[in-house]
Amino acid sequence: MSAAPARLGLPDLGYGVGLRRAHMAEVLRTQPAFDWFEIISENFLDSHGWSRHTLQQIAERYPVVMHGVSLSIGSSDELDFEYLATLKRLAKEIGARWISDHLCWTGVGGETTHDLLPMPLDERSLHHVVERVRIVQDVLDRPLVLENPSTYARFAADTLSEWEFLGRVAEQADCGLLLDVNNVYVSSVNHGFDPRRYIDALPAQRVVQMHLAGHRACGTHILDTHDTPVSDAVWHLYRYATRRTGSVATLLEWDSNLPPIDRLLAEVDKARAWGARESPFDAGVFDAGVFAPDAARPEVLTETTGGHPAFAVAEFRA
Amino acid sequence: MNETVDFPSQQAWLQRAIVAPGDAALRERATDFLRSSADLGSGARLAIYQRSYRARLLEAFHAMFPVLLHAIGADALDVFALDFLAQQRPKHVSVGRIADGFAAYLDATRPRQTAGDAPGWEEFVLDLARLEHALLEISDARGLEDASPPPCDVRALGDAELLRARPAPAPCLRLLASRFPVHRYWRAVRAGEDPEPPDATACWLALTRVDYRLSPRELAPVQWELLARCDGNTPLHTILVDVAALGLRPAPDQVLARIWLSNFVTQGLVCMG
Repeated sequence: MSAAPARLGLPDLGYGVGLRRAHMAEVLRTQPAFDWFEIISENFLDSHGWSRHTLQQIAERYPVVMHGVSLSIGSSDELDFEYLATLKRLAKEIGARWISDHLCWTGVGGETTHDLLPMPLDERSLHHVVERVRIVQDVLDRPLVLENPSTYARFAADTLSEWEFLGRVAEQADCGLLLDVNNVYVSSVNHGFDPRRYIDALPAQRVVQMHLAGHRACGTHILDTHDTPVSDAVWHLYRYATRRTGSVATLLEWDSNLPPIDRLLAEVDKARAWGARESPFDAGVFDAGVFAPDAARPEVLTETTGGHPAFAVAEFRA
Repeated sequence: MNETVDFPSQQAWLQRAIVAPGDAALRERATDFLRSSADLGSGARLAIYQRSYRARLLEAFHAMFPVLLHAIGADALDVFALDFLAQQRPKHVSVGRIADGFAAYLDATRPRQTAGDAPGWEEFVLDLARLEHALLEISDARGLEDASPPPCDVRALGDAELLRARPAPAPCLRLLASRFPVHRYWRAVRAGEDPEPPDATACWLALTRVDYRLSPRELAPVQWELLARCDGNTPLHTILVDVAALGLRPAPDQVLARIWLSNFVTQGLVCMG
């Protein structure tokens, strides 16, 4: 396989958090001790109001990364070049360090579900995604960074595992990877595989960034809800992953039940500790029991009364 | 399951099954398209995506229409939103655009009144939906915050120059002719109050954004009509003739137009080229 430079030559930005509208004014005013911020691109693409204005000021003070949810790289629809052009303009305007999105599709037939839907995983869809990633990178004039989504279903006709699919896309299209450790864990429980197998299979030198987030257990499965602290199992898996990849930019996602900034800072400090080379939390890292699905079950969310996978909450005026 | 099924067909089925959870024929094909496990069958896995689709879009509607939500409750808003979304599926990359056309849908589907009846609850709901959607647009529209050169001093223009001027609407200006004072109701609810729905009273509203803050203003009908004709192409002289023909009071003469336009510029409603 290719000898890509570590993180494709992109910087290790340290420890950051997803920038949400409810916190923007406070971030600007108090400049909390996050190393960097990640934005949901679509929340700013069409905005020419307060949030875009404030983002520009924050981007003058912190490194900012753009994380998208609508690229739909795996869709059988045509690529949306108008969307890509808008993405490129915003990236230039705020000096985005990189642009990421998900290995998924969001809609076909000109419609969108606004969800990150699971890819059919076979050789034809692999070729399709590789070709599209190349095109996107040409248009954006920079590497694309692709994230593994959390999934709740797999297609019966799949012939490849998601980790093989994603690793081959990265190598063949020469793109970066955003390893969402929580998503690996969520999918491992929902599909019954060892999450370390997923991480071991990815080309470590292509991992540009990691995501951490909370999830909720629903009895038969777990949901990637981004509304709770990171679970112990995910912290252990994060530690496991950083041993493979070395130090990479790490970001805490928290989208629903958004806590105050101090609480986010504390959670990010936990990430610093777990990601440190000499971690005080080494014990149990290689204990397979830590990743057993039952570890996800004590907290049960009734889906009929609330909760859905969260990746980007629509944000409107305060 | 057909071994040669291609991925576009898989995607097309999954999307249809997600957006139409009541379609039993689509649901039954989950066993053909999706894998099962001991804990979670293919139908249950499909149901996670079906619930997620509905919950995410309804959550977005609640966030976009907080005052309408307050007025009619979640159950009613969800019924309207789901029926609208069934007719007009999301297409835009931003979930913030899923309600484009929602007010028009409410207008098209509301019970029709007999001519001469006072505006009823349906009109209040429609006016409120129009107001909140307009405010969403204004929040994201281009504004005058970074405009250059600085606003023109309308009071300093000579008479001939004033009549030749072609005032243009601020890019974030939205005009609303409302049958209820929904802007007052909106303000009260956003301030944490629980007001009674207002009685019907026609209002002519100019909604804009000044220094990144929403600014709803109530105008006299004649001012509203004048403002509505400021398109950046039509000279003020023509606008005054057109508005005068409506027979509204006070009749819009050059003296009043100078005062009103000056205020409109100061209030961020129009710009003078």
